[in-house]
Amino acid sequence: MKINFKKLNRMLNPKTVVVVGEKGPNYQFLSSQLDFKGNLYSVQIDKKEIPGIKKLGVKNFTSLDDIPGQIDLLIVAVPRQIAPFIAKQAIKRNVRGIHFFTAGFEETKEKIGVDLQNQLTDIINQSDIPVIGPNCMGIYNKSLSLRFHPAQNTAENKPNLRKQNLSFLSQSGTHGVNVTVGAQRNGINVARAISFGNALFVNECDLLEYLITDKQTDIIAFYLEGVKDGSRFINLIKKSNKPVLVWKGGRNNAGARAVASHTASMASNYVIWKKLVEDSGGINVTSLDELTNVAMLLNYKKYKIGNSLALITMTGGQSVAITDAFEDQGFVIPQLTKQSYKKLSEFFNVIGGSYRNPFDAGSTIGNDVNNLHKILRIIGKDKNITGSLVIDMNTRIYRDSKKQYIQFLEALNQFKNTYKMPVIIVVHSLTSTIMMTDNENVTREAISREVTQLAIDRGLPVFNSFNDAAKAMKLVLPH
Amino acid sequence: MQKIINAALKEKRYLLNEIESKNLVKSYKIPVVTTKLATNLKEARDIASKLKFPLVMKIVSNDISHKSDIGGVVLGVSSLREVDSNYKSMMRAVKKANKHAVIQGVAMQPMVDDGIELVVGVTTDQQFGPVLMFGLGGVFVEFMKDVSFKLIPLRKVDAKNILSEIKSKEILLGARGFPKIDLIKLQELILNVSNFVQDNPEIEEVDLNPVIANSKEMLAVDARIVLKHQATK
Repeated sequence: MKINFKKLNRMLNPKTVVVVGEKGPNYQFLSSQLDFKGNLYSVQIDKKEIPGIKKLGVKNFTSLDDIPGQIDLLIVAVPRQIAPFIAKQAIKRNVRGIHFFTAGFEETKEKIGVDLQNQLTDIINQSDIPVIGPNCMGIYNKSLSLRFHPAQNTAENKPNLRKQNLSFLSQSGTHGVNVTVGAQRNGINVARAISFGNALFVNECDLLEYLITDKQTDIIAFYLEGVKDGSRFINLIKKSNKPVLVWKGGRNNAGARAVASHTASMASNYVIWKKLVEDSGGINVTSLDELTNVAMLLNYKKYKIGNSLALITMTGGQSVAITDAFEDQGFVIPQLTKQSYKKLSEFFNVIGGSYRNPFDAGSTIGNDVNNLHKILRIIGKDKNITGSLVIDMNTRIYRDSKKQYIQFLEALNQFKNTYKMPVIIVVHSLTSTIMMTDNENVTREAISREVTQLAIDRGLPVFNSFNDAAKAMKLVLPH
Repeated sequence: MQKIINAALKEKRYLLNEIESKNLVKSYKIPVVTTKLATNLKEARDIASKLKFPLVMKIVSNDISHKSDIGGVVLGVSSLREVDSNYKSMMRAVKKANKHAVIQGVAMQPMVDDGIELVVGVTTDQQFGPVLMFGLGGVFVEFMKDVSFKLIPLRKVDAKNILSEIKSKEILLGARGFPKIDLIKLQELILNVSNFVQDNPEIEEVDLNPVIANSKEMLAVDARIVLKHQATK
């Protein structure tokens, strides 16, 4: 079916949203929509449900025809038997687009499910109304506070940040929510998330085509278990000037079985999939964490990452571990020039420290931000370092002095802008409170979060481990 | 060309035999070692006397899929007398393995000089359609899985890039005493396989394994083509 992109655009950016068949006690769609910047109505004939809907402050009607004005998005949550009837009503009412939350079609493999899906398909195909679903969570649009789960944060990011908007297309509703929330916690602005389920009508390629030219979207990410039209998918990724991240679920045989029972899509040979996505300029990721890590790197990436790195840690053991992590991913940790070593020898404390690259710099930086400035200047001017600076920002410094930790971050930010070189920060979540005494009443999570926020506020991406940082950087390297 | 495909489809036969497969790819300028079918011992002797010894003899039967496992392949046949004895022993071996097997004959071809064993294949992915695979043959493909893939149709640049995407790419450049091979010719071969499959949507799989390449020549020594159960145009 040819997609009417004008209508799809209205549906994804609606002024009027109507939810049909919403049920308590949660009223998930209506209660997610209470901040929606537009008109929100309900259609429900069940007398048991109507008081709960009214209590939310949403105006309820008993027929679609009674709703005033144009309907841009119709969210359908009725039982499956009624879905074809609602589809007919919606076409008659000339709604711009429909999202079917309703499930129980082909994916059940039951005869009644398959029959209902065929009925629904026949009805929809008589119109050019874009339909998302069935069996999915639908549309999140941050700028309109249109949500499909109350946890999808709609708070604005700090305005001083370089803001790359991520839009996420997901075959799974859960991942739709998790990526929205998880990425936002990493300081990434998620502009849109669309959970499209069985993709009977509007499919992953149509949505990708939409996002490629969407002004609100800078980075595109997918969770997919399969695609309907592989070569169109690959050609669209090739065409996209925006990075396209692809998280493929069901990568091996057992996973593929889970997929077959999850949706009606075919499992593909992941080796081929991975290669074709890579060839077309897409980025393959394998988990929520990897997806958000890569997105974070792209989000804050102002300068090219490059292959030859300077690595700074505060202790000897960490300087070996960081080097292993990056060399394992194929990065080069070069020696510095003679001039650099000469300058470093003038002030660097080599007793219990080292500046060969990696830097074991705890005893030199210690409490003196000026020494960090000196080291950074030398790295910035060294012609052997053309990639990035990765630094282990131990939370012990933060414990000693929050003010000083911030000074360090400021120094790193200044270095980044002066030498046009990305700075990547690692705050090991597992070790982040080891250096603290027991009586300090802070949790590891809390301190990691505080520190992460401070770095993110300065446009510096933060990773939980050297390996996470190295893997994400390697994936972004060709882009 | 279409005749071979149509005839097989009419018989509901989806695996083409070696002779059919080689004839098909040959029509796409894919270099294939000369291979003749002998349907009886006399023909085998006639063919052998026109080819250059040593020869390879392989059983051709639609009922035998792993011919080397049952003694259906003999390498290094170096005289007419050996043609005789091998022909007879192969017939016995096939009948022993499957007494109902229908034998089309014996494929006769000259031995190709040693070289690098390559594999060029095509598989049809359920989602992406036909995909071309390239790699080093023999143990490399079997145990190291050192292969790379490209979506069909390949562009010239894809055929060039796929060569450098395998881990053992240095071998193609003649490292460590491996013969220097004609990489331009190899790219042409790959593009021809891509064109062949693009023009013939009935094809599900192609296996040119091995293609032997040395400093003199580059030839597909074995070929195997599988057709789709439902041809889609």
